[in-house]
Amino acid sequence: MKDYFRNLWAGIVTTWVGMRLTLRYLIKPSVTLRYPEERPVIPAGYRGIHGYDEEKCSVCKSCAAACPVDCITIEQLGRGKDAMVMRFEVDYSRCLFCDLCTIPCPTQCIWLSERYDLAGYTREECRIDFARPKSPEEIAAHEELLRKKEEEKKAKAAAAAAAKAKKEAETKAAAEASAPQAGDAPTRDGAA
Amino acid sequence: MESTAADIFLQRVLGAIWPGAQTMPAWLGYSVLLLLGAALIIGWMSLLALAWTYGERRIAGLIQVRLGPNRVGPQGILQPLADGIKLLVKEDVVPAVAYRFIYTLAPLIVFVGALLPFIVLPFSERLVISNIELGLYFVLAFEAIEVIGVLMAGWAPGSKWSLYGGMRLAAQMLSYEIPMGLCALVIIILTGSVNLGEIVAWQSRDAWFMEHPWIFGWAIFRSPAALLAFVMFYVGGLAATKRAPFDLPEAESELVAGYHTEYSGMRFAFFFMAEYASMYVICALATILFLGGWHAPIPRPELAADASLMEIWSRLAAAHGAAGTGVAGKFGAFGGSLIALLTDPGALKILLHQTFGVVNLLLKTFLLYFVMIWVRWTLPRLRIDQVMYLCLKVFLPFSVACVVWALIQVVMLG
Amino acid sequence: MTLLTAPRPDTLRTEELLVNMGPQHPSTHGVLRLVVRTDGEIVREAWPQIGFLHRCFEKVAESVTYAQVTPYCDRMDYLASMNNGLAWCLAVERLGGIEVPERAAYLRVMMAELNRIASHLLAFGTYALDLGAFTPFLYGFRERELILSIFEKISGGRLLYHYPRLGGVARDLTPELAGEIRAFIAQMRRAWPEYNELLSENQIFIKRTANVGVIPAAMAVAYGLTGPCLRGSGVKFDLRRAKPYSLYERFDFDIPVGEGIKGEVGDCWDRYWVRMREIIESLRIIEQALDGLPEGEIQTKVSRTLKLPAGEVYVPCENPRGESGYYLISDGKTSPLRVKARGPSFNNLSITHALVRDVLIADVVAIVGSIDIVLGEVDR
Repeated sequence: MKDYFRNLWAGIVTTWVGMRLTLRYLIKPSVTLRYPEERPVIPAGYRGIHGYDEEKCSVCKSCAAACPVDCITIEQLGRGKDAMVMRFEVDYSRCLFCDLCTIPCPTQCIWLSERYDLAGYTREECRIDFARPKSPEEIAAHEELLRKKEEEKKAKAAAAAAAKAKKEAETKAAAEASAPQAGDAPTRDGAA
Repeated sequence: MESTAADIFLQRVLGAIWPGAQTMPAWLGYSVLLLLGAALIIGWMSLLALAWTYGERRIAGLIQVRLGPNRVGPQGILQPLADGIKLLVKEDVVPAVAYRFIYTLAPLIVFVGALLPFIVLPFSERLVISNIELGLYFVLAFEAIEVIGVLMAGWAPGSKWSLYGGMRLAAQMLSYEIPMGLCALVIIILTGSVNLGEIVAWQSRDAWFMEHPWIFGWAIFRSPAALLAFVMFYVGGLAATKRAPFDLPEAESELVAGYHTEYSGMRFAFFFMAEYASMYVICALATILFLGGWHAPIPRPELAADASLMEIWSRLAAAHGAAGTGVAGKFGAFGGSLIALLTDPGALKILLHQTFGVVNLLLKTFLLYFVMIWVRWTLPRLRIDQVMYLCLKVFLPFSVACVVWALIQVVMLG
Repeated sequence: MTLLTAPRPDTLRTEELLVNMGPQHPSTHGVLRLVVRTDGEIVREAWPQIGFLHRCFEKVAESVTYAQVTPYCDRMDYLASMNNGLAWCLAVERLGGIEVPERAAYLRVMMAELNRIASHLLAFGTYALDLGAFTPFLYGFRERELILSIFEKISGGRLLYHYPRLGGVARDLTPELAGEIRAFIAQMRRAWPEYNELLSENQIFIKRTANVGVIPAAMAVAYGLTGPCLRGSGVKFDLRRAKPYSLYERFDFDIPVGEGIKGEVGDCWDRYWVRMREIIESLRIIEQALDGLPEGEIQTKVSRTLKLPAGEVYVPCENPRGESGYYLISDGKTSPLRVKARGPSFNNLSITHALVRDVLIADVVAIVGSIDIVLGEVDR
């Protein structure tokens, strides 16, 4: 019987205490941010969409290797110092925004920026190509450059091979001239 | 036919300007007035529901340190309009296994059950659609029609969740009618009348040795039984209108949406409006029964017992009516009599008297409404067995005790 | 089981309903399906069905390197991302013999405890929401928003942080951020009594949760419960004390345990109250960490193509929901051979079938809410 009245009294008191609290909050100002007139301040270092500096990129593809979900696709024209980035595409339907790709980059050319509001309607919109689009003249010029370099390399290689062959022929001639009996003792590397 | 205000208006006001009104068949006049009354009720109910959906959401937002609706219109005032449009254009999804006829009928019955008590709810001594003798009984009886509607709404869609909601609600609503009725009985015992107008009139005189007690004439100050009865009536009203903490039937986190899970669009709007309307009925009834209705706190000018607005208007209409000929002339005469009415000091006094009465009533009703909303956003939900425990083991004994006390008080103090 | 809910003799045959709660349901915390057999309003039996959020974490871990597993760990218990990453890093570091600088260990502790508070605030808010009190949810989230903006500044993300890295942590704490954390601690200490006024002491809340879902201590241990579920039943076991990791032995804090204040020991209210008191204890730990933060490096250099020696390791950690850990088997390559992730909610959820017997439907919601599951951990 005592419990009955105690519970009843507790019910009334705690209800009143709770209601007093909510009444106090009724008069307090709200904490709402009135979007879109007021925007939230995005702190520096926020992990949003990527930022990419094509000039610094050395196309080493460490970022693509470091990505846990393989969301970076890189296509290049040429290799090493002559590489031109044709496509640096990040697939945001796979990207985890984990920033593991920024760590191994040797030139700090990739980072995660503060942009976050890039919603799209189709899957294609989720794939963003950060490389600067190249005009056909640029591509042709670069291919020309590559071909020239290839030719130079070939020419150099041919010249070097020719020089090497000439040098060997000279040493061989000198060895033949100074050797007593030619043709008996076989040389180590077979026919010179 | 008695000389009611409507009759005086028809016969003597309109009749003075347009002689044809006096020969109008009675049923035609009556029908017009009935339709006018129905339009007033529906209009008032819709306005209430609309305004208080906004009010509830705004208050809820402010309690929860956020803003409520604040985009549509200045401070979000037009939000209910947007809600209404949304509900109207929503696709009407009817479950394939539903019992079609009952499914359609259920929200209508709930709506009608919430609408009917408005007929007898007065705004002031003379502002009531129908001042029947058994006003209080009428309201309590017709609130119960909603129970049938909700049971139908629980069964008809053929969904288990709706069924649970409907069953819980039937138990809850029916059980709480008993303590509510007993608390109303306390007032009936104290006043000796079931007429709502007389109950309020009783609260306006002869209390605490004063002829015109101001707010001390209210029922809650006249007897501790009435005070306790007020609290129980109010909490019982929370349960009867399925408001938190008794909102199990619509328990969102358990039953998705309880008995109105399967209703969408306008059908849901009917349930929604019915809920807000019955909240108003409970608050208005509590004000009338316990808080003095339209008396106090705002004082009202004194009025002679036989002061009648219609009498003054018929006198003025007779004065103006003779001058008008032709349709435009008749309208002019009517307008002239209206302007004369508004500048007549006797009529003005009557108008102020009534207006302050309405303001008093609405002030107190809306305060109780606000408390209902405040309670909803503070307290968690009660489990169904706890709801029944509260009703049968707490409210019932205490309300019986109140009735006994009221009886003793009346007998002993005369 | 009361007179109300006891099975009745078969004089009146009523039909038993098989009802589906979920997987889309406002109160199952995530995609959980509860098949419930009810007799009127009374639930006779309930079977939880899981797997709707399975994302093959353990299989994926076998094909990526150790550093690349870390962002996946965040997503297991997505509400306690700092704690999950910590468990993984500790496992790898123990097997590989990698030393973590002291400053990094303190920062890890600080962030783990802040995340514990955030997770418990969310548990508090959603529990209130399940039981019909809409307002405490928003008050809890107001404090949680402060934590999330602290996390945003230190890690760049609001929910998934990827902050504990192999060998240390990702970024350092600035003095402004330390000031923000102290301001948050003050604000939390002001708000905590308000939560009690509004919810914990409310008679209706107590009536809904006291003596409901009582888990006796022996049953809790037998089912492998950990975290607040275990401590709510009176068993004083906390991995931060029993098997300290990341320098937890240096911090002074109490282990709140259910004492049956409002009802029996081990009821829903006890579990809820353990969480509330753990918030206060976590505030103490954070203050100690801030005051004693040593200078130094924040990360030991770890090779990108880290190869762990062959072997097995398991480092249990105290997540907000219980014991979480990764059983790591390595065969000397750059990827693990096998990773078994232990999510505490999986074990905690297993008690549902035994616990939800002859209770009312409203109690099912109260019980499942008090166990506080996150489906990311349950399904991995």
